[in-house]
Amino acid sequence: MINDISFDIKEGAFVGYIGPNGAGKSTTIKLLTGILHPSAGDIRVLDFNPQKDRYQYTYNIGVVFGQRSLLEYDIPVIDSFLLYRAIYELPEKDFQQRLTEFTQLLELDDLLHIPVRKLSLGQRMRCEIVASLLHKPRVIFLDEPTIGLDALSKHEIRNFLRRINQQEKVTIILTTHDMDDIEELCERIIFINVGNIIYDGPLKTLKNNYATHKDVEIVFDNPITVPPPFEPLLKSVDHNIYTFSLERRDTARLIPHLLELGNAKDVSIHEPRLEDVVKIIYSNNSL
Amino acid sequence: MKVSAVKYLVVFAIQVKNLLEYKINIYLKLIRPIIMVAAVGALWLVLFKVTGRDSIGGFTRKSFIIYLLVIRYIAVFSPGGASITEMNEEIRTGDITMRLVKPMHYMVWLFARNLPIPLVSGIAGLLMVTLLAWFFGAPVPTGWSGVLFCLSVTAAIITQYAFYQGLGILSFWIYDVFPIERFYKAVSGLLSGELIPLTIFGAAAQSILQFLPFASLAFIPGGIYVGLFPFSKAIILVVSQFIWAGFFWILVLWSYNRGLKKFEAQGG
Repeated sequence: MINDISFDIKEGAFVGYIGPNGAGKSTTIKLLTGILHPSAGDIRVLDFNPQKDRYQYTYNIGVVFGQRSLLEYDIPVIDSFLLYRAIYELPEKDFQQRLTEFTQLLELDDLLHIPVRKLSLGQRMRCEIVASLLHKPRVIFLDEPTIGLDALSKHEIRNFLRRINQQEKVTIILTTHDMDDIEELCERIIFINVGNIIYDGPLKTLKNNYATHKDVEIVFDNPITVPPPFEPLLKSVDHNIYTFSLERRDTARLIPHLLELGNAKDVSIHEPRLEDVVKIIYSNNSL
Repeated sequence: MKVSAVKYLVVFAIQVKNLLEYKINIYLKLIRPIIMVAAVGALWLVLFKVTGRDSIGGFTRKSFIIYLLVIRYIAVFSPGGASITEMNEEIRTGDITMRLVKPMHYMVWLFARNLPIPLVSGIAGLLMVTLLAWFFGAPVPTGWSGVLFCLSVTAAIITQYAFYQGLGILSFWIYDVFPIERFYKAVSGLLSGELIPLTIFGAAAQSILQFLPFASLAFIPGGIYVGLFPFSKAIILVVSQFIWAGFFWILVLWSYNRGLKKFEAQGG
């Protein structure tokens, strides 16, 4: 269930819509795609009411649900694409042009004539994304598009989505639990919990406001003794690698002191990962 | 709403391709009605023999076998049974969402998808019925009776499909519709004349049962085929069939729209 949420998204934006399980992410996507009917309120996407104008509206959107399939299970992938050409009434020339382009970008050549049931999850998801984009939608809704995929498949799909977003100025709304997806792709985050929006803004601002600490990793050539004043800052020790968690405002001031604790060979400063920020938010349950 | 028939033809063609992946299913569906007719027919032939009568409820041995064949293939012609399974599964798992985000009407899509098997089985069945009717020397309706028979079969298929769609649509409210489907099939088997021609129940019961929607599914078209009704009565019965068909389709479409608004789309 979601309550009294309101937001606008600019054309061409890549927005991450995140929150814990049961927060209302998928419900929002289903409302925006016209599948569910709101009990109150008004939804406008591309000047359509998704529920009342469903038929015409769906020509303009692409939808990928990571846990469901757009493709026909028993027949070759190309037949599903041909089915969508008919369903979206695409001119043959446009269809061939996009199919060729996507086939090259996602290296689908060898997959087109294989029945969907024989594809790996990563291969199938690449095909699912193509099926959702053949008709050149103006808005794409992605619900967990990288769920269960290996690192390489995730990388390929992210690159492809970034390219589509930038080249075609298509608006993308991404729902995922994979914070690397969000971090790599989205400039704006809408954070939802228990049906309410608790943050809506740039990814960077979220991190700056909430992630108050940075990790500083120092490699010493021998084990060192950390004096009492620095002990509370020590986060972990792995062989001669010492990781300290420092407040942002103290980082520059404290690093020289830490380097003097031994013979430092290397030092690196890590920005907090969105994954860690989100964990903190989930555990605190507030912003 | 703009409706393009081409997209549904492609859905149909794709489904044919899907089905050809499992050819054995098609052969079994073609043969199954013959086995069912043989089973029910054997029981009735025993009854004829035991009673020593030439005619029971207005049916001779020959006309009864033809009646059974006709109504069995009408049932096969109806693209409904598979759609209940598919609709129930898609609604309860939430997979229907993948259809609803496409520019197509779900009910028409389902029809196009479920048409190939009954179409093939039905055409093969019609040929088989005609051959067997010729073999048994049963009268094949011609002229206006033939036209009435075709109209009656059409109304039967439309009504049967409406029933099946209605059962599938119940999935919006009931998680598992199969117990209801089984109940419907039991009631329908008895009241449609599929197992026992309604004439067996006696004149009083028949006068009521023949105008109920169930009779539309089997007894009326089967009866017209074997010449059970006078022409004027056959016209009235066919008109009643179309009235029921219209009524149930209005109900089905209304229920579907209500169901969509109630739909909760399980899963992520």
